[in-house]
Amino acid sequence: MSSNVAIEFKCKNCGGKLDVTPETLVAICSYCGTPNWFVESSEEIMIVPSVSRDEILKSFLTRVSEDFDLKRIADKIQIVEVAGFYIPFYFFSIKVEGFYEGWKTERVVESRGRSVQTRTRRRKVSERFSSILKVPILGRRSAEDFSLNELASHYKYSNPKAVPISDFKNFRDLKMTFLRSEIGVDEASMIARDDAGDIMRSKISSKVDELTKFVCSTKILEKSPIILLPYWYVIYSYGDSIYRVAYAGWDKHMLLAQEPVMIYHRLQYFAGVLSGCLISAFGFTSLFSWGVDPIFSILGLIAGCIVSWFFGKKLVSDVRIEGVKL
Amino acid sequence: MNYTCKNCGGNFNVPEGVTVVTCPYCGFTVNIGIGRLDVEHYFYPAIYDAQRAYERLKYILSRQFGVPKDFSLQLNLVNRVLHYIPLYVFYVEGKAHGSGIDVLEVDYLALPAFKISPIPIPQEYMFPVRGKVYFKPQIIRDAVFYSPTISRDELENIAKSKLYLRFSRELDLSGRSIEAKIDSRCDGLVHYPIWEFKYSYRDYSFNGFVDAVNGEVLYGQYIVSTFHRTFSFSLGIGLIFAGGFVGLISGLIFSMPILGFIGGLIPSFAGAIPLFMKSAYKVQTYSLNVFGKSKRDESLSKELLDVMKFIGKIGI
Repeated sequence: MSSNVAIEFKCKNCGGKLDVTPETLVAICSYCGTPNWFVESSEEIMIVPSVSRDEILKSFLTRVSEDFDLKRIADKIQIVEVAGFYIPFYFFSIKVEGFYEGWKTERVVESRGRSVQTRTRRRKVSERFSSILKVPILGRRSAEDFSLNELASHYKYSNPKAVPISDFKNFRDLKMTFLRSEIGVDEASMIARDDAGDIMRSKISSKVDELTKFVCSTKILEKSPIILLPYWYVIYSYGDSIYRVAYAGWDKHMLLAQEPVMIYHRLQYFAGVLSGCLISAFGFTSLFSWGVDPIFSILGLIAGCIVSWFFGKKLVSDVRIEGVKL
Repeated sequence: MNYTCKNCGGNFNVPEGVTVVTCPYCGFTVNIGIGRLDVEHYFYPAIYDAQRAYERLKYILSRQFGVPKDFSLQLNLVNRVLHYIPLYVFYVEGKAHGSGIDVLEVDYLALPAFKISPIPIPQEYMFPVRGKVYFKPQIIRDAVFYSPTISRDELENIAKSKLYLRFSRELDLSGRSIEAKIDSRCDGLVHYPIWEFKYSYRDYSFNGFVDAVNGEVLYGQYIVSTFHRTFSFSLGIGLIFAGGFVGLISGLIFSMPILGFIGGLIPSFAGAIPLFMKSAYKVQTYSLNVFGKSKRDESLSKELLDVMKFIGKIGI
C-alpha cells in the first residue's frame, strides 16, 4: 500500500471527496452513497453476509430473558454499545505428514501370591502420521481481539455461504466497519504451515509423556481467498460495571460472554475449595487403609491442592467467562 | 520545531524529540536523526476520548472484589495524559527445510521501542485491530509523544530472539540435521495512544492506563474496603478450619483422623491464599489478563492433567 496521501480519493460515481485511511477497504460516499472499494485487482475477497444490528441485539435480549444467571438481573441490565466489524481471515487446507518418537509411562500391576505391587515402566513409542488440517489465519498483524479464535472455529464448524464482494449489496444498512487484510497470501501461507505443524505437535504431545523426536512436513492443499467474517459485540452494564458478549454475525451464534459474579457463584466456588480438601483427605487416608501405592495418596493431595487453588482464585474473581465449546 | 519536507517542501510542526516524521501533505517518512528514509509510519487515532476511556476504567475497577460501594461515585479525576508510544512491527521467520522435514516458526511482533516503558503494558499484549491512519498533526495535539529510545536493529534482534526459543525447541525435536536460519523484516513504525489517568478516592491517589484505541483497561489501582478485608481474612481462616474439619471427618471414615486432618488442611491453605492476598493490602492493582493463544484454554481439567503429566515425567 502506498503511503502517499497527496492523491485525493474521489468517489467513482459523483467525484465527491472520500475520507480514506490506510485501513479503508470500502469508503461509502457521503454525498451519493456509492461504495468505493479499495482493493487491488488481483485480490479476491469473499464476504459472509451478516444479520442486522437489531437482530444481534434481539438475540442478546433473548439470552438475557432465558439465561439462568442473567434473567435474575434482567431489569438491571442496560445496553451500552453494539458494534459490528468485518474481519479478514484466510483458511488453508494443509496436509501434515511425518513421524514422532517419545516415551510413555505405564503403571503395571503385578501380583505375586498374595502381595499386589504396582510398578512404573517407561516404554518407547514411535508412529508415522498423516493428516489434513483446516487452519484459519487472521489477516491482521499482532492483533487478537476478544474471541476472534472462537469466531474462526465457529466459521469452520458452521460453514456459512460466502459471496464475492462485488455481489454484496446491503452493507450500507449494516453500518459495520470493514477491516483490511494486512497480510498477503504468501505470508499467510507460511503462518498457516507453522500453525499446522504446531497443532500436530501439540496433538501428539498429549499422546505421550515425553516427546523426543518430531519430524513433519507441511503442504498446502487448498488456499482460500480472503474471507471477511462479520463479528459483533454487545457491551452491557450491570450495577456499576460493564461486560462484553461477542457474536458471529452470520447466525447470531454467541462466541464468548463476560458475566457478573453473583454471591451464589462465590458460594459455589467456596464449596469447590472444600471439595479440593475432601479429594485430598480421601486420597491421603486411603494410603494406609487400602495399602495402595503411596504415589496415589500424594497425587490425591496434589490434585486436591490444585482444585482448591483453582476455586480459591475464582472466589475473588471479578468476572466469569461463558462460552459455547465447539 | 518547524520542519520542511524534503520531498514536497511542505511546512509543518514537529514535536520536540521526534526523530521519525511523516509529512502530513505527501506522506514522505524520514528519520531526521539519521536522515535516511525510514520505514512506513502510521498512527492510531485515540478512538476513546478521555471521558469514555475514564468511564471504562471506572467500570472495570468497580467490579473488582471488595471495592467500596461508593468507589466510582467518590472517585476524583486529578489529571489525564494521552501517551503516544512508538512500536516497531516485525515479521520474523525461522525456517529449516530438508528431506521431508519442514521446521517453520513465523510471527508478527509489535514491540514497544523503549528501554524502560513509561506505561505498564501487559506481557504478550496484542495490539488491537481497528483503524490506523497516516500522520495528521491534529492527532497528537495535547498528547505526550515519545520517540523510540531503542534502535530498530536492537529491537529486531529482540524480535528474533523471541522467536529463536520456540524455533530452537522445534529444531531439537527434528534432530537438527538440517540447515536453519532466521530472517526478519521491519514492517513499520506505529505510534499507539494510551491514556494515563491520575485519580483519587478519599485520601488515596492512584493511577490507571487505558488503551485509547479499543478502550481496554490495561492497569488500574483501587482499594479494598476495610469490611471486605476483614471479611476475606475471616473467610480465609474459616476455610482453613472447614478444610481441616472436612479432612477430619473423611479421615474418621478410615479411622485415621490425624492423616485426614492433614490431608484436608493443606489444600485449604492453597484455596485461602487468594483471599489472604485480598485482605493483605488496602491498595490493590488490576491488570489485564491477556487472552493469548495459550491462555484461552485454561480450565480445571487441563491444569490437573498438566500437573499429573509433569509428575509422571519426574517419576515419583
